[in-house]
Amino acid sequence: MPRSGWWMAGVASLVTVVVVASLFSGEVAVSPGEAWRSLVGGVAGSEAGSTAEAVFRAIRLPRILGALLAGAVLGMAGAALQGLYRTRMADPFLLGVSSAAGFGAALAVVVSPVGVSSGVTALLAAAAGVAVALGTRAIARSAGDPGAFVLGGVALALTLLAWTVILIFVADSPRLPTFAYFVFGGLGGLTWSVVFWALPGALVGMALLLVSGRDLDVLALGETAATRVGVPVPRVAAVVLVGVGVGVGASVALAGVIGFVGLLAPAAMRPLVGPGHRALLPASAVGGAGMLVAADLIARSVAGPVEIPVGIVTAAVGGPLLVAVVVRRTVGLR
Amino acid sequence: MSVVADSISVVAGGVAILKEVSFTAERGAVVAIAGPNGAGKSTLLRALAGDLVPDAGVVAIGDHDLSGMATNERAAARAMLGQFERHDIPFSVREVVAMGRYARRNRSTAQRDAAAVDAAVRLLDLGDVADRSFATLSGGEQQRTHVARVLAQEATVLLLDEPTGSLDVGHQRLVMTALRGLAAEGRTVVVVLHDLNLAAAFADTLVILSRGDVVARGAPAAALDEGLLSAVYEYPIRVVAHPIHRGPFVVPVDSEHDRSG
Amino acid sequence: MRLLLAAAVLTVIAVSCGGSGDAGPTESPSDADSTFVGADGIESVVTDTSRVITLSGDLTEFVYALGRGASVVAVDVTTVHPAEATELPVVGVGRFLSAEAVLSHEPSLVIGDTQTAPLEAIAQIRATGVPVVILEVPTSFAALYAKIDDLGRLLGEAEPASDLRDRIRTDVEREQARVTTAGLRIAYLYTRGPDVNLLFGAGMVTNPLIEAAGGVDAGADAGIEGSVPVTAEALVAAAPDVIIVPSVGFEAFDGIEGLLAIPGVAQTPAGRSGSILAYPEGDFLTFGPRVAETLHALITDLAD
Repeated sequence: MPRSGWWMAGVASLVTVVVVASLFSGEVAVSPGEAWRSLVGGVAGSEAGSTAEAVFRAIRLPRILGALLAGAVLGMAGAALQGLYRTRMADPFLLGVSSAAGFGAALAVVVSPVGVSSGVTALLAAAAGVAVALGTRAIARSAGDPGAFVLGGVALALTLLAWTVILIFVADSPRLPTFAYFVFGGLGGLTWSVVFWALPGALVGMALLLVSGRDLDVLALGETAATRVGVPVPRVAAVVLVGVGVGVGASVALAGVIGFVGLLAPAAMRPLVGPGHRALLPASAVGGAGMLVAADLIARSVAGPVEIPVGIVTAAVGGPLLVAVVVRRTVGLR
Repeated sequence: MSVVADSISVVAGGVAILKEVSFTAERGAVVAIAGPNGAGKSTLLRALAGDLVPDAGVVAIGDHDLSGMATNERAAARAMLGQFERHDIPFSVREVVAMGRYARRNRSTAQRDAAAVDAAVRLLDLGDVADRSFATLSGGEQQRTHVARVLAQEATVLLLDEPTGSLDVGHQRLVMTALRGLAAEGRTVVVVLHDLNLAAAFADTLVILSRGDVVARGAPAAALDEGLLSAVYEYPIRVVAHPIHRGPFVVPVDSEHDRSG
Repeated sequence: MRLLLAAAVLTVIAVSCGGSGDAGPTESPSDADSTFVGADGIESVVTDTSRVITLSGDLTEFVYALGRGASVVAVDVTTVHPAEATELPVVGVGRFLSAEAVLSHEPSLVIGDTQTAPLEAIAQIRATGVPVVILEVPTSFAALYAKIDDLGRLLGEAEPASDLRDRIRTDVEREQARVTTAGLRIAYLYTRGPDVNLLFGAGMVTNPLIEAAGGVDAGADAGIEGSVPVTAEALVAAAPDVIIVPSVGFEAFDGIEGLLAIPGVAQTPAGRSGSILAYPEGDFLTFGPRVAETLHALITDLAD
């Protein structure tokens, strides 16, 4: 097995450990036996079981699965954006895509009279995400360098945040915690219904990214040279950006607006599996999934029964690391 | 296949970059394009490549109008080396060269691709650095890698903008010899060169551009006229006989004052 | 890699199909009394009321007043009365619910109101099979009495509920007979300090209290809905003769002088005459069993 294979096995093991730790932490103590019974009971369709089993099946499992799914999408989307725009600083949040999807999700809350329809949320989040993702190409063309490009994206993100806050003022106050989830990130409200509705978007998004792996590699030559070599650049960009928009839309429906996972997962995986996207995209998905589950674990454990929004945890860790990336500003394996 | 530009004009920002320029390169020929900075050499090459659509006139490769071709058709017809290629590519040399095979990904086998890449790597003397990361190479090695990539594409027409700019004397000759060899095999080669002597040594036809017009066209001996060159480059130039092969040799007349500085 | 993905997807589908849905379980009820439709329109089947969690101070007080205090296993942070209830574990804030925190006390019934949020947490609790019954936050005495009856039905204490309801109604009517200062414009200013200043208007629990004390709710009269951040203009337009604040706000401002410094207050009739009253919010804003006592204190103070 090549060296990168060993690294991936190691990362996968680490992620498994974090997942198991997360599955068994929370306000309600769940024993491995109860966990097993709740899974087996679920498949068989029986209803009986202790509170712990019910909590595990109806709350813990969807939460962890949702975190894995959202983290995987964000990690892969970050890697794809970095390849498309040839900069280490690209990330769905920094380019404004996440905030757009967040605005879409917040709109869904305002639009739904009673409760939040998971389907409507996923749809609006995805639509907004795709719209802005495709728009990033326009920003990229007018911006001179990656720094200006990311700055434009951050400005867009802040604008969308402002619009989301306006929506909050318009809506009823009992909806406030739901909005807080979307704006700052949070996995607290996840149920199987949300996971169900987000699953197609997440899978479709990731599929679109995976098929673009080879094209993203050749884009490293620059758009002009890549076009000369035969890459249909506008079409590749459209496929990647639609994949990013739909996938990030699903991740926001699951976990709200979360930044930096898309930045950090590829940065962590690239030294282990190399720059080729056929390996980097799935590796970033695994890395991102692990990161989000870990961040969620921290968010739940640090301040007692109160949950810190997951987006705050990722920003607290990711922000300084972004500064480090910007300061180093080297590309390649120097 | 030949590449033909029929009376093309390109205007940018209100300025005429190319004025009704006609250009032909036949298969088996090496045609060099030279001229002062801003003459329109790179623009002409880009028009021949189909990168830009001229405001007037038509470009065709093998009688097919270039503007009507799909991206992958074009990639099979012509390969182009730009004047400024990227330095920050995080892949290995071999991987970068292999990117030239993109257009053939559905019509070629892994062996064919590997063979083409290996041949290009050998031809451009990149064997020693083939597995190193591209970003760690010197400027000259990077340029040769890009040339190798263009070769690996195995297109019938080769368009190269300053392929020898960063290369030392030996490697300059290496690249030009390789291009001559490819022309001999039936390809069409068009190169933009600053170095008039390099052009004289390796090109069958020399085209000199000045301010968007063709001012000279023909075999190097004919095209390299002292009076024309001095006027076009706005610098005193003499054309003498090369001390060894007696072909035309261009010598800028630097005064004692200029040289001693 | 693909096998793993397929296995994961299949697990997701299997487990989610096996688990219960997001709404309350709707098995056919054997006993008509055990099915309850809440203010959120969701029908819940309540089979066991032995372990109750109440998510609002007034709900806790009512459950105790109906004699079922022993059934309460946990409360939320707004519960201040009775004393035994404050000894119970707190599951957090009713408006920022954590499903797991609630479920860790193994309740058989959770009672909340229309302020309880987020809706996702409520859905999560229901998904584990525990019923969550949502009641209205009453904004009139009639609604209050209906709520008492609902609670009685819910807990199987219909008789104690109607007794309680009648008793409260009698007390309130007795207090209303003592009103000597009819027609006063009274505004409720919710302030906890310089950073939190809200003016209450229509649809708040303060409306029925103020009206029962013979007053006019100045905020509601000025067209304010719900609670709004206070502005000087809004205060002056409301022109209250009396301003009521929570005790904690009164102390934060060091008494009347501090409160007069809030923009707009000094320009109101209340400000000019120094007519500012303060009550603990746990008493005044809990529209619960002790409402008659609250009314008594208010009417007495207004008479001065």
